[in-house]
Amino acid sequence: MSLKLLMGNEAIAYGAVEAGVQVAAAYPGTPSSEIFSTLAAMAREKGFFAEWSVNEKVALEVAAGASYAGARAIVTMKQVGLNVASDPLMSLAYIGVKGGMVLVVADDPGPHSSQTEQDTRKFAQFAKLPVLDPATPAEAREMVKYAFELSEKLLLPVILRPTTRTCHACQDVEVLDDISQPAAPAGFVKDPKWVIFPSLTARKHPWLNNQQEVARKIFEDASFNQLIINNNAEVGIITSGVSYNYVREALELSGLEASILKIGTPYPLPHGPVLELLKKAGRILIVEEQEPVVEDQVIALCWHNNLAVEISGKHDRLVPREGELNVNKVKTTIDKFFKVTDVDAPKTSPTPELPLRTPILCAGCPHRASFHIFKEAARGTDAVFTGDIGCYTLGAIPPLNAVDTCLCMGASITIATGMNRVEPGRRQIAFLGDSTFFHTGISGLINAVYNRANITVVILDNRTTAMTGHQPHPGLDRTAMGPAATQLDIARLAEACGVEFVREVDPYDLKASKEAAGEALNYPGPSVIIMKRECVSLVKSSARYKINPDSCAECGICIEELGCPAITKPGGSPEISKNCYGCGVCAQICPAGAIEEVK
Amino acid sequence: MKLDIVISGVGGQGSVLASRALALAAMSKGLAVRTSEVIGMAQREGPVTSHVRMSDELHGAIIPDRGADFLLGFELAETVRALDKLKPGGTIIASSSTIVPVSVQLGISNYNQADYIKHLEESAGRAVFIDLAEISSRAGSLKTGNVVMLGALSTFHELPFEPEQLLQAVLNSVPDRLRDVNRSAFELGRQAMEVA
Repeated sequence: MSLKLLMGNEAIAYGAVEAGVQVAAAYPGTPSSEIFSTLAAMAREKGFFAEWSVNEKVALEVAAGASYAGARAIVTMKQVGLNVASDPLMSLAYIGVKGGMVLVVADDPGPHSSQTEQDTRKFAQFAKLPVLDPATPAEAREMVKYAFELSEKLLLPVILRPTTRTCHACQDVEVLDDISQPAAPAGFVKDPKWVIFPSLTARKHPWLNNQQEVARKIFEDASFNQLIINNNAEVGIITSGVSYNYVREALELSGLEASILKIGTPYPLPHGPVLELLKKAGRILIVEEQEPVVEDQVIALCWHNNLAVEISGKHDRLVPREGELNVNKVKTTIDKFFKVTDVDAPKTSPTPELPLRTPILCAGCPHRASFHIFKEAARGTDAVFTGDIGCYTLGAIPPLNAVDTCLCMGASITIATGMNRVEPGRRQIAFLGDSTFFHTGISGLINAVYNRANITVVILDNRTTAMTGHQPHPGLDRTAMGPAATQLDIARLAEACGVEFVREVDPYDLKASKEAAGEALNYPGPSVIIMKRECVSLVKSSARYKINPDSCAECGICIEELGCPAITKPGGSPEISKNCYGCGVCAQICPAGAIEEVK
Repeated sequence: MKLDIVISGVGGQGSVLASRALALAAMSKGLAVRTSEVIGMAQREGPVTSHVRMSDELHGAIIPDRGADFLLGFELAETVRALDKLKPGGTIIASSSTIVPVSVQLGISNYNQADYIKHLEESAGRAVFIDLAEISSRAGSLKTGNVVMLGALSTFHELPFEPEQLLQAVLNSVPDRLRDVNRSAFELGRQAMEVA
């Protein structure tokens, strides 16, 4: 064994490798992305296959296929990615699996970077699949290994549900040094059980429902659930996942005593440890993030067993149902539960006003230029800019203010289409990235052509999947494991989708881009403009610009039009800082011609 | 023992490397460690806060409010933003250098450098200001501000490891060709504390 500093995502990858994973598939999504990238980095050496799939539904189906052939497969995604993968997942529960299949879904309470705060433990209940909830990176590693075995016992996919505070938290974790090669998979054996038909579904449903009880029985002995009886206490706290950490620390800070039941298997919830706790405690507080998944099962258990227990948690609003928890929030909850008033925080001087610092597009980002170009091309019209998920979502931030809608992956094109039905005389311009286009943009584009939506689609091709950490996609020449066999050309794809007006331009060239944008907006029919220029993280800066103070008219247009972080006013007049990437866009829009390249 | 350190800065300033180096140094002493960041969108010029915890036994990765022994601020305003994490009487090491966000340029918000320095001085048991931009520039690279900060921190006796162990953790985390410049940065950070 070796001791390593690992983030939860890395620990999960190590656990999967130690469990003999043979196929890994994923689509990037914060906070899950590093699970797969760690696996991909180990794939060749450890002899397994890893692919970045084009979207989460594909990734899950790829993993399912591997599992059908008897291999251990892992698929990872963020919680909203599970929505994309939900179709195969729901059916897979009825069909079952052969090789162990672990689905890692990373939730993002807060949220820090997601469109919803959905609780994947609830999804697991809906899908009728067991779910594990790790409190620490080390526990996440143990759970992956356990999950593969559980999956093969139950013949069901098993969900592992870490949250940001496990995914991106680091811990000293022990990992194995020697990992034996997994046995060769048995291969796919033909059998009608792999073909979903309504009659099969009807036959499998009672089996699936029974597997919930089988899982619950197995969980009765799981070490991830720990009952810590405190003989000085009359109350008990049941807690799930990372909340366990907060409960432990909050009790210490408050100096209060309680028995604690830590739950690592929130669904199906084992009854034994709960009933054991209820023998000691007449009052229970249930602390978990998001939905009352554990709480509702405990309430049902008490009702079935005729137990008169006082239960506090979400239903009596002691524990918030939104946002993530932390030690301070849990301490406030525990103090309320114990009816203890907290000592007033020491008075401090009032905090001075702090600057608003939102994430923004990097200096030199081609998206900044693209949004500027289309704002100019659409000036004087009431064009709607429908947005999508990626770095370019930041086009909504001032001063660009160039995103009017954003819903989910791929929705830019389809929302624009829907709007166009209602306001056909108005311009709808959809913006999405190259990776997003492959994810779910293509079907929206085909739909727009087939169903005749007069919209403009702007594909922001910066040659990467930027926001999540620069993962590759089918438009590039490499995969997770090496060079790609072929590199898909987005312009040709758009043409193949039936779009007659397809242009490719360089957003750094404002003149050419504005011309193309104007033509696209006036084209009677769906049009596609591909704004092709690499993300600034991919290519080293080779130029810098400066503002000539003698020519500068101090009109402020460079700042108000572009809002580039490299243009600041340290002395009151605009200056270009050392962060300048050298895109030259500001030089092209300066009305005084005061911005020049530093030679 | 227990030591809780909060690092506050702007995306891209290297706070993640700093937090990992601290954790690695603590691990080499057999301590349990936790670090916590929110990464992803924060890198796009947004605020980044890292929590580093070291102790004999640990549970969560997030430091409670008013629980941090040290607050390391890579950027001045962000140091103030993270202030409620600092324990009463805690120590602040803050960069006097600033990164003024676009919203200020646009007139949407304000940046009051003098107010922030005064507030930090009033709020801490001890507040030290060093110019990370100037010192890292002298070391040879503006990207070593995080290591300058670690050098400064290493002069405090509360750390459960030797300065050399922290330096080693940093050097093990960077490519070989960057070892010298990081070694310089660390040393200059230590020296900066002698005059601060």
